[in-house]
Formats: sequence, C-alpha cells, structure tokens
Amino acid sequence: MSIVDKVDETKVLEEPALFDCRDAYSSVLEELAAHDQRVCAVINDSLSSARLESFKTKFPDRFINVGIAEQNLVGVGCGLANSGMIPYLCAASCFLTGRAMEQIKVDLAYSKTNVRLCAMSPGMAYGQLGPTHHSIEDLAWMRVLPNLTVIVPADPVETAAVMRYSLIHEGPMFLRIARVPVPRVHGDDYEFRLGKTVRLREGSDVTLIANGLMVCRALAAAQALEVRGISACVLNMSTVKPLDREAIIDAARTTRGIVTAEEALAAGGLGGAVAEVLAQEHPAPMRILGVPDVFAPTGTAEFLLEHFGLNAAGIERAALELLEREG
Amino acid sequence: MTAQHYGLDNLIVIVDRNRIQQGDFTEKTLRMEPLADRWRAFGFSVAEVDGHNPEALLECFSALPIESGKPTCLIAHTTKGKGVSFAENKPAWHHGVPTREQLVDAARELGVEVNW
Repeated sequence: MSIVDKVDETKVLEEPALFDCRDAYSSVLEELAAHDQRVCAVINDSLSSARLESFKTKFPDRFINVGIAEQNLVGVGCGLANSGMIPYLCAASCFLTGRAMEQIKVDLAYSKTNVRLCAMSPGMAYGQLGPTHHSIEDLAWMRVLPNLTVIVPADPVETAAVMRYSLIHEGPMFLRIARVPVPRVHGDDYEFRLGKTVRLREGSDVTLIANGLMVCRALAAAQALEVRGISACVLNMSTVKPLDREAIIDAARTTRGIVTAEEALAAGGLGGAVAEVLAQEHPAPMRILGVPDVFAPTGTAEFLLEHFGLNAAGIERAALELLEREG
Repeated sequence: MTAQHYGLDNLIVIVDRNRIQQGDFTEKTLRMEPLADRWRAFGFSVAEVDGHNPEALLECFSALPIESGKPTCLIAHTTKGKGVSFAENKPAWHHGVPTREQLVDAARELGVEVNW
C-alpha cells in the first residue's frame, strides 16, 4: 500500500459519511406504498425537491401533483385522508407552512385529519435562495397547533424510522426532513418512540438538547467539552410535540443547566418548548440556540449555520458561558 | 384548476350568490362579475338557477354533471334575508343578530310558528 493510499484511508475514517435525509424518507415512502394501498403522495410541483421521481414511476395512480398551489395541496390531501387514504404531502417547508397555514390549522389540525406533512429542506437548507426560501419559522408555527404531532428527525436512520412509524400514527403529523447533509447518529437498532427523547450521551454538568441537524453538532460539542473536563449529556428531542416533559425536568434536576439547539428561529421552537416546561416545572439556567430575531442573510446553509453559531463551537461556547455564569 | 385538470365531473360547487358580504354589496366592495365566466375559465360547466326555487334546483341536481369530464358549478341566485322586510337584501344583516322583537316580527312575516 502506498503512502497516498494510507493518507486517504485515514481521511475516510476521520470524516463520517454524510446523508441527505430526503433519500431515507423517499425510499421508505415507496416501501410503505408497496405495503399499503392507502399510501399516496401529493406534491406541489416538488417532484425532484421531494425526491419522488421513483415513487411517481412505481405508483403513478397514487401520485398527485396539484401544481404550485399549497392551499390546494393541503385541501386535496385532507380530502384524500377523509376518503380513507393516507396522504403524504411532500413540499418545501417554507411554502407548505407559510402559504397554507390556515388550511393546516383548520382542515388538518382542527379536523384531526390523517395527513402527513413532509416538510422538505427546512431551516436554511435553501441558503443561497434567501429568506423567501428559508424556513426558520415553520417549527414555531407548527408547534403551536393543537392536535398536530411535530417531529424533527436527526439523521437518515431516524428519518426512516419516523416514516415507518407514520403509517400507524392516528392524526396529522408534521415531519421536518433535513436537506443539509448529516452523519448517522443512531445505530441500525434504533427504534423511534413518539414523544420519547433519545439519550445519546450521558453527562452530569450540562445537558445539550437538540433535534434535526443540530444533534450531530451537539454530540461534537459534547466531545469538545469533555476535553475541557466538562461532562455534557446529549438528548435528541426529535419529537417537539408531544414534548418529553419528563426528560426535560430530569435534565434540569441532574445537570447544572440546559442548552437547546435547533435549525430554526430561537423563538417558539424546541428551545421555547423546553423553556415553557422549565419555567413552570423546574426553573433552570438555559441557553436557546437558534436564529435570533432576524431574517437570515443569503449564503450557503453551512455559512449561515456558522454565522449564527449553530455548530459545535457555538454550542460549546454557550455551554461554557452558561456554566461560568452559574458558577 | 385541480378539479378540471383531473376531470372531476362528480364535483359540484354550489355558489350561494346573495351578493352581500360583511361590509357592503360584493359588487361595490370588489367586483366578482362576470362570475359564471370566471368559473368557466377554470374549466367548470356552469348553470345559473333561482336559489329560492326548489323545483328548479332539483331539476339541476337531476341532470348532473352538466358536461361529462367537467366539474359543475351551480350559481344559485338568492336574496339574503328574503321574506323579512327589515333584513331583506341589506348588508347590515349579513351577520346581524335580531332582537327579541325583530325575531317575533320576522317569524310573523315568514308565517312561522315560534314557541319559546
């Protein structure tokens, strides 16, 4: 083996493979459709962005494209659900939530319709397309709707598990499917349990609560903190609603503070949900990491995440500041 | 657009065309006419009918769809508050709440027995 080969091999070992969670979602959706005749896909001209080219070919009679018309997308989806189908509405999150909010509220959440919203490319995944295409508000908007289950998977393994679970779930769901590549944080034996936090790392000084693409960054931050002699617990809180209140209260009891991290506005999302529980049940020092009260500028997703400190270094810094302030 | 694209001729839309909205008459607020043409432009077959005439409505319903392969729109022309002199065709009564006296008057005009 030449030296060059050895170097390359080392590099491969050091850098974990990255995955676009849309691949896991679309392959499981095909699996579900093959298994259950009620499964259908409804899109808003989002064939490629929702990764459904193969689904369309395999299940042409269970594939509906309503064009660029999100309010109609939700209306048609709810109609299909009311007639016994299990529709997956697959659309870019910015348009799906922003343009069809009332339909999601009334036809879907209020009516408890058996619809799955597969919100693609959320957060700042559409970095260079700017704030019109960013979807940093979606988590706050969806979380406040009664009856709506809200899940933000962390990696392809969890995305696939959540998709499989979605077939048996009763009622409407919002699934936030990441586009920004992430490494695997869960093993093949991972089992999704609705409303149950996954403890990815034990720790006694501080608790890092994250979901979506921030989970792998929280794990990296925990490793960096360990080097500094700080023990950080890492929780993957993929289910934002219904919220795992017990895990939050337990974190407040067993560690000195909590840092939340999400690829969304810092207001109203995961951090807000955690803060609501803490304030009422067990007040604890806290830092909420997310996009502050601004529209994100235009740039690549990675640039924007770094810009807002939504990376391992940002989480590490927040944990250090929190622990320092609390003594 | 979806209904016409998929040829949903089992879809019937009934428009209660009473020409009133909360603040004023629809045509004074923001013109909706030519309403039938607008539905046609979206691929619907349109019939206009007197919404106060049950026989005319039943006749429409018995001959649906108007056109095979096309969704139907029935524009039912109605007069809001019809038969109640103080409320008939008056925007103020779009969502007005009658007093007890007005309710008694309305029932009398409509020839309805009200027991309370």
